[in-house]
Amino acid sequence: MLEDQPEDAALINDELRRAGLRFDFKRVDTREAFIRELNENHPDIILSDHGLPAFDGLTALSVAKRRFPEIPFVFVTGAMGEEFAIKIFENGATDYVLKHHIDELAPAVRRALRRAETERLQSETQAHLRRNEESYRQLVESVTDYALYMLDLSGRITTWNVGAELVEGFTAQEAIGKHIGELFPKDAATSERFERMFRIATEQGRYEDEGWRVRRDGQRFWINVVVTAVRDHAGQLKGFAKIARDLTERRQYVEALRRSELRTRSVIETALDAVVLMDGDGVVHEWNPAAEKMFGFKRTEMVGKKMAEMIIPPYLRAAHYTGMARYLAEGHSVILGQRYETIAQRADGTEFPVELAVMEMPPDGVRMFTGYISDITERKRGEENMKRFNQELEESVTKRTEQLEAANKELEAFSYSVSHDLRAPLRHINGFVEILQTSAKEALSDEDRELLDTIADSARHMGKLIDDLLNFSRMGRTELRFLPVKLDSIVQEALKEMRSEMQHREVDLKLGALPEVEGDPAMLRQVFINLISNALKYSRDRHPARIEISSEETATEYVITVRDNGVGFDPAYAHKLFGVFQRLHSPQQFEGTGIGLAIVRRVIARHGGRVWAEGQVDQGAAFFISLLRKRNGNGDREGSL
Amino acid sequence: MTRELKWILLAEDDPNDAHLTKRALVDSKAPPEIVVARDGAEALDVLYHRGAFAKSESTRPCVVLLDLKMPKVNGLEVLRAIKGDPKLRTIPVVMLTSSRQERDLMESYDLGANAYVVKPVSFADFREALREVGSFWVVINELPPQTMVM
Repeated sequence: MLEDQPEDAALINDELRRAGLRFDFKRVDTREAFIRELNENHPDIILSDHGLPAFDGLTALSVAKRRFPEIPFVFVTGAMGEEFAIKIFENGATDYVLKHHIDELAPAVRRALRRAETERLQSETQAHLRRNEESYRQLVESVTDYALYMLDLSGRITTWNVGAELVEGFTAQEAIGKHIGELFPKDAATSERFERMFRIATEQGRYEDEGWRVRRDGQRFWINVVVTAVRDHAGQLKGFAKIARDLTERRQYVEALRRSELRTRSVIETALDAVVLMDGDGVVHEWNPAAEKMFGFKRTEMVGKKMAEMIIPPYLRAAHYTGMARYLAEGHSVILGQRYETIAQRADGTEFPVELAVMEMPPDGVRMFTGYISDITERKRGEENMKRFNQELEESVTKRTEQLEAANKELEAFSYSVSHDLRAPLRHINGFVEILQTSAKEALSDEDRELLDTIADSARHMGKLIDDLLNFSRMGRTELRFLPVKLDSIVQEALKEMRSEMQHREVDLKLGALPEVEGDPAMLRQVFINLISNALKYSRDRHPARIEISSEETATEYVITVRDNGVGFDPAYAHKLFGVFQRLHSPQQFEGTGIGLAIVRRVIARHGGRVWAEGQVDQGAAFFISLLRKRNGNGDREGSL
Repeated sequence: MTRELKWILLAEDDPNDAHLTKRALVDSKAPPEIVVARDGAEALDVLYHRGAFAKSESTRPCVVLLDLKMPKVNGLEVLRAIKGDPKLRTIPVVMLTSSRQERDLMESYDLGANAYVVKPVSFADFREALREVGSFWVVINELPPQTMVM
């Protein structure tokens, strides 16, 4: 209270207390005291006289207002001219009360205090709001994950945060003030989208959209956009707030997950095997189309049911449950993780063989099992067919072998009796002819004797035929003994046997180096005896006879040639040379039974080789035999002969 | 020893062969007596003095010439009987046959044949062969002392 009269101060104090106000007060009457009180005690209200001797009220008002504008300042004075009243109000006074109307003071003080309180509250709220707004602005500005920006009604951008720069690819400088349409592609789809966006945001207050966009640099990104209509207190539309978020990574993850899920699902859906997913209680959770087809139960019929009760025949269920319980309790099973064959039951009650594989899925809380079931009816049938076929084959092989063995025995018996019975009469003919020739020599005419000679010759020839035929048959039936054979020595042995045939002959023999082969020595010797004796026979008119034996080798075989300069043969009949009893010359020209080359062919064929001949009439002949370089296995090579 | 003359038992079913064999043997220097059996059964009858031969001499032949292939009891069976009987097994047995079959040869030797001769087709060779067989088994070969046969 600025008052020089203590009586007045007491009066004011009484008046206010009488009106019910509770307060402390301090009377001051100098400038220094006034300022000190203001600074130190910060009064709630200043009551001031006007005309003080040392300090006038108007100055006090301006001091107070300069320092503490919020403190109400009420003049309490004896008189107040109209001009002065205007002046104090212009300078910020709150009110004035004339001392002779002191009863107005309390209401005025109350009014002033109330007003000051209101103003204080207002200014506090405003400061708070300002602070809020600032931090909010900073928050928005600094958000990087979200593009946040405001648009005015015309679509012009008014704010643009860091997130918008990152998400949309434009700096605040580039964006603010532009129409949103200017920043994005100017195609129909985009402008249509914007149009829709503004319309829906206006009509419904909110618009949300998600999709692929192309950033300024051409990069595709997935964005989530929320546009909110911004209205003032009166509800008048003022613009739009747009929040956009780049969700590309999440989108890609979601899409990858979905693709992976789709793929996994399609693996199960398209599997040819029945795929069943069940829990530890055997309750079906998944049942794929193949399972539907195989068992005749729809997915909807199976899910939630116990698998065993649906597709395992009653008599096998107990074993199934026991096995499952043991696995769950002890963790080992004869079934899990491997294929095994069992019997399953269809919806119509029919049973069929299946191959079943049950796997426990990777632990993920609940124990789950996957069952893969394939219908093996066909396979079983195939297996049985195969088994039956094998059995039949075995039987027929056994039977055939028996037949062959029987035939072989018969053949042996045949040749046995041939060698005995066919030879005996010949021997008799010979014997009796010879006896006649000696004992009846004198009684016979020359012609008779010639006839006897012819009979003997014919018998001898027949004997030779029989011997050769038996020999040929033996060559085909005797088991081959495969040994390493030096053909050089074989040829030497053959030549030794034919010494007598070469006696008194002029023979020019040329022997090339011959290889070592694997074969039956006795049979190969027979081959060379036959070939060389052939060469000698058909070249006996040549002086000298030239016989050349040589060898060449290819990657797989040796080819041995026996060449002579004899009478040769007509190549038109070359194919007949190796046949049994086939002869290209008459017995008068060259004796022989026609079995030698047949034996050669049979023996070489049994060694896995080939024989062939080249020649021209009167130009000599060449006989070729081929023998494999390396034998593998020990069996007879004979295919069919 | 009731008898000095050595004799040969020829078991041969074929009369022609028998004829030729006898002829060949007769041509030799010391022609022995030849008893011909027409099959294996008869040959065994001769050796055991049975049937038609019950009253024959009780001596043993110095050699048996045995054809392989004969009716009733064949040569190998006769051979088995001779070599399986301790009283007969010292009698030399020569297989005389037209078979060159290795199997016959092996089996004959397995059963204890003393020789195996393949009849040559030519009579000259046949005669020569039999002359040698005869001179060896009848003249050269010494037999063990003959045990009495009841």
